[in-house]
Amino acid sequence: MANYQYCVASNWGKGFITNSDALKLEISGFPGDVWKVNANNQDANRWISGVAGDRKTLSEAQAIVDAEITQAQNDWDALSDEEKATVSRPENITLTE
Amino acid sequence: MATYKEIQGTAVQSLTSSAGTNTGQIWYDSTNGNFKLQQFSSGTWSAGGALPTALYANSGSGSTPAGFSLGGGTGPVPSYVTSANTYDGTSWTGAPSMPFSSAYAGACGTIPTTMYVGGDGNPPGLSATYNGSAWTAQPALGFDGYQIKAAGNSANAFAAMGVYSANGYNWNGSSWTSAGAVPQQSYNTTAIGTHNDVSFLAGYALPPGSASTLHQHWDGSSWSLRTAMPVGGGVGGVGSNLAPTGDFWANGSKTVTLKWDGSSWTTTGSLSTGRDSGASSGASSSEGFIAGGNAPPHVTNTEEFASGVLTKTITTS
Repeated sequence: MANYQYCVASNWGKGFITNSDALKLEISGFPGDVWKVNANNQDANRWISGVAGDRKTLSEAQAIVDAEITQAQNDWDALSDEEKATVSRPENITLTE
Repeated sequence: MATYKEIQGTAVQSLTSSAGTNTGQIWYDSTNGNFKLQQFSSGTWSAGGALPTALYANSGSGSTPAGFSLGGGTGPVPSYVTSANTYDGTSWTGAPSMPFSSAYAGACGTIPTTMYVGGDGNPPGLSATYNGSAWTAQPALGFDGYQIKAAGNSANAFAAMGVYSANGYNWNGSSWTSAGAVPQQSYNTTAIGTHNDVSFLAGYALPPGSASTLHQHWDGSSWSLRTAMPVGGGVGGVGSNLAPTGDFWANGSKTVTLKWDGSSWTTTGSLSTGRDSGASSGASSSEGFIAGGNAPPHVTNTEEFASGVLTKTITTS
């Protein structure tokens, strides 16, 4: 059984994740507005509904993150050596269930 | 089974605010018409308002809800900015631009007592102070202050841990003077405290740039080493910069948040969006913020740290 579920939601700022949410849930953000939150959890399901999240499967969420990271890596690769010295190359992210 | 009144010594009270309530107390909020619970939190991060522009290597000072984000870079091609933004606990508002652009600089103080110094793209190591309405250019460090960190304010500050200097530097309100060598030169550290009581945390030790967990303390005249962080490396200044050196929070990695109580480290709630080199500050171990930073890519979002007694609205769900 999966420990986490994924959704895409736009972070509008204050109130998107409250202290009460953070006390009850593990919420992690990834590139592409992808959010990971506990699975099989009513509070987590309510949080996804409350932020108007669009649920994604693990593979769908991974594809969104991969596209964002690939674009960021391509942008980094196009920098000069001097510019590369101040910013690290984006690393791949592997999502887990 | 004990009743609520037996545990708390009183029945549930009707109150207009949480003032005077205790951990574990349930009360009726007569202002908003709902029941509330005073809950203890060792530390959580909640979402805050977004910066106007995605930034990395911006510097933070102030606290929540009076935070400051200064300078930094936009991308993907790095371009350093002069912009400054203030945070009111809900949203970011543009403040007067700084006299020069840089990123990875030192910043400290409250908004009207801000010192900003050094940073990449600023070879002379220029500094500037802000009084709440205008910036004043101040003397330069005299070297490239890339990655330098600072504690104190516009009247008295201490800056150290730059890539291009192994010394610490005192600011007395009018000039910078060398205070001698630091124990372990490092970059991407976090500075906590004030000018004569400041701790520099973790980062990457120079040479060769290996991850460090060191907890180096300056008391205004000498250095000492305190208990190392359990998680180290460099997250670029993410901590409650204005907090006392015996009671603060700091990030040990992109998401792991730690609290120091003067004798030991504990792990508390994690950041939702892991990032390094964002603008971060706070005035105690119970509050603070981080805005922007390098996830990567660069982000606009703010997260606010809070610990201690938090008010929760009781619902049936």
